[in-house]
Amino acid sequence: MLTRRNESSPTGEVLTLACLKTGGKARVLDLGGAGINRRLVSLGIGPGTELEVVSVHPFRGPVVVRVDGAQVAIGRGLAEKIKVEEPV
Amino acid sequence: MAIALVGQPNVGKSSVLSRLTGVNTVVSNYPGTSLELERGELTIEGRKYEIIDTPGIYSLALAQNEETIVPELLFDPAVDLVIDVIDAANLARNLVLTLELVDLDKPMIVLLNQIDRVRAGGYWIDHQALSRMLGCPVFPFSALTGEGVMEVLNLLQASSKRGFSRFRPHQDIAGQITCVVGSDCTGKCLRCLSQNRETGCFDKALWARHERARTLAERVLIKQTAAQVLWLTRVEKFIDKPWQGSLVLLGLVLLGFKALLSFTGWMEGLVANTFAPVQEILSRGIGMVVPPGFWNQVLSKGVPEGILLPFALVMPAMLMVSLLMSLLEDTGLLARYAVVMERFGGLFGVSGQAVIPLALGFGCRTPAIVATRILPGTGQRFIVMTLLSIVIPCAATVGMITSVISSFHAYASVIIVTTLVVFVVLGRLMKSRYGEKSELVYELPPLRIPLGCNLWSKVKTRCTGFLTEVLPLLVIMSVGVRIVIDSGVLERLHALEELTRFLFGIPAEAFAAVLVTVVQRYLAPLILLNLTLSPREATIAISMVALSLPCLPVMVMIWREAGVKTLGKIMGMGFLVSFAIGILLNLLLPC
Repeated sequence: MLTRRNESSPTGEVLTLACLKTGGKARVLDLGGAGINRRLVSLGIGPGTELEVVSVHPFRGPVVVRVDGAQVAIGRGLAEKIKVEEPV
Repeated sequence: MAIALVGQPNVGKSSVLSRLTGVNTVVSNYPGTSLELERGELTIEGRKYEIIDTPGIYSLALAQNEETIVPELLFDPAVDLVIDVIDAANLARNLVLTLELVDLDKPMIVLLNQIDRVRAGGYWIDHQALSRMLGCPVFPFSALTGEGVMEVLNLLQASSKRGFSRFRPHQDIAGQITCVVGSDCTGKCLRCLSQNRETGCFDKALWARHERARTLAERVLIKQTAAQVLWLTRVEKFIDKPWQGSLVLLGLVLLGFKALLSFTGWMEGLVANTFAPVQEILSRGIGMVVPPGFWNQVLSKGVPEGILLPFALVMPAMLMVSLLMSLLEDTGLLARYAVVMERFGGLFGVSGQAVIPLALGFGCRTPAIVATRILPGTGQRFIVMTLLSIVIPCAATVGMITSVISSFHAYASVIIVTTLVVFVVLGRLMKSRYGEKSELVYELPPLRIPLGCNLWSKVKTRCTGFLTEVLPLLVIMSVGVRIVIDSGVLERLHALEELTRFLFGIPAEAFAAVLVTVVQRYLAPLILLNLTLSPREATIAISMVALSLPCLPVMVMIWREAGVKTLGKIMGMGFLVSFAIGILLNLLLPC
């Protein structure tokens, strides 16, 4: 589905969105799960989307990212499923 | 002539509507809840247009549950014109919906709202180029400054005779998205894919539309000058840091709570003084009309109480809370509470927004029940309504309970701990039964300065509903309660003395006070104060009173908001909790 295959990360390391720190930038490789994907996609988050982490809330709270002009909060559980790569 | 106003959530659609229609002609809807179409009227030079406001929706193809009324409305041939409101500061994502709307092949006007924000960011949108590409009029617009309002109204006026057909967008702009499902596919992904949701085609087309929107946005978005940092953006940066943000939000809750308390306190005296003669006249009038006897007594007391109680106690609180809620929504702060409190809400199976009705409940629970509308899902609303009704003590309850505690030297710490334990246990129990497990994906709107007219129309909508729907119910229930009191049922409870002593360790009169909480919150503590109770008895009785049913207006509000079945469930649970607490405390507390 919404996966970019045959494209390995330039840094050779695949991270999840939850690994990123505040201010970190990344490009989305793959969204986990099927149903929820559509909500992420409707907010403009899909393979190839570049995003920046605005804040990471403590106690396994949500991760807030900036996509284009908007800020989106993503629950930690979901953020752990989203695979990203750090841009070169 | 019918015009549909469509846009994604958080684009400031309701402010656009207020600007276009002037003041008060159309009411704005509660985000995420009352997903109904709001209809209003727009008159330009004597010609009337029906203007239909739709709930914010990210995508027509992804519409779920109640959201499907939006595509249904748009497929209706009765709609002559679609006004697409776009958040200009977030062009690429908003154009996705625009591309779907193009597929409808209906006359359309695009408004680039919040254009002032884009300009402040040092950008300019070439709206003429966008208009050429889409094939329909595109206006830069700002609900804040009023930019673009006259242009739109002029255009509508000029086209009112000739019709809107020349605003039909180019079909090829979105038509390049090809569908990969069977041969009978028309290529219009919005329509054919809504039937084939489970195939990969749907997602592909969805993402293709996103990429198309992104290239469109890149072509019309022009960097002009250096970005100028708005002071609001600075505030946003500060608030969006987890720790300091949480502190600011907490401070704002306390401030709002303080405002609520002082406003209601001030109004209560004012209204009570003004209305005292009215109550007297009503009571006498009814006393003269109805023949003396049982019904005379019941009606002459019950009706005025039912009418005046809401004006003196509930109405001021409703006004203040409506204003606070509208402010939270329109500034974009509400979404920030949802994010900061997500973990906390997760403990009870509710989302972070739940903290708002719960916090308001400490002030007055009646408007807090209305505030549960901000929660997604009926399960979550039920959990929060139940916690509000049974556990959360409102300001009046706290005041009265503390006075009873001090006069009997009851164990305050036991009562506080009991309340906390009940809150956690009840919340956890309800979570496993009614909680909804959903992953948080939530857009944080930028902070905004709310429009005065928008706030006013929201407050008005919320309070009008209260007067027309809640007031009659209150009068009926107030009369019912009078019947119970005057029929002398409560005095007969003496026969239960042995039972109440055995179960709860309290005398029957104290148990009557527990039952009376249903009737009137002032009555239960009054009954208790007239008894002679030991500290142990008082502790048990107060805990049972505090953790049972809410006051009458709250119950009426639940009835109105969630139906009589839900009210029955909550009342049943209230008694269950109250009795369980009584029995447990009787067993645990040393004699």
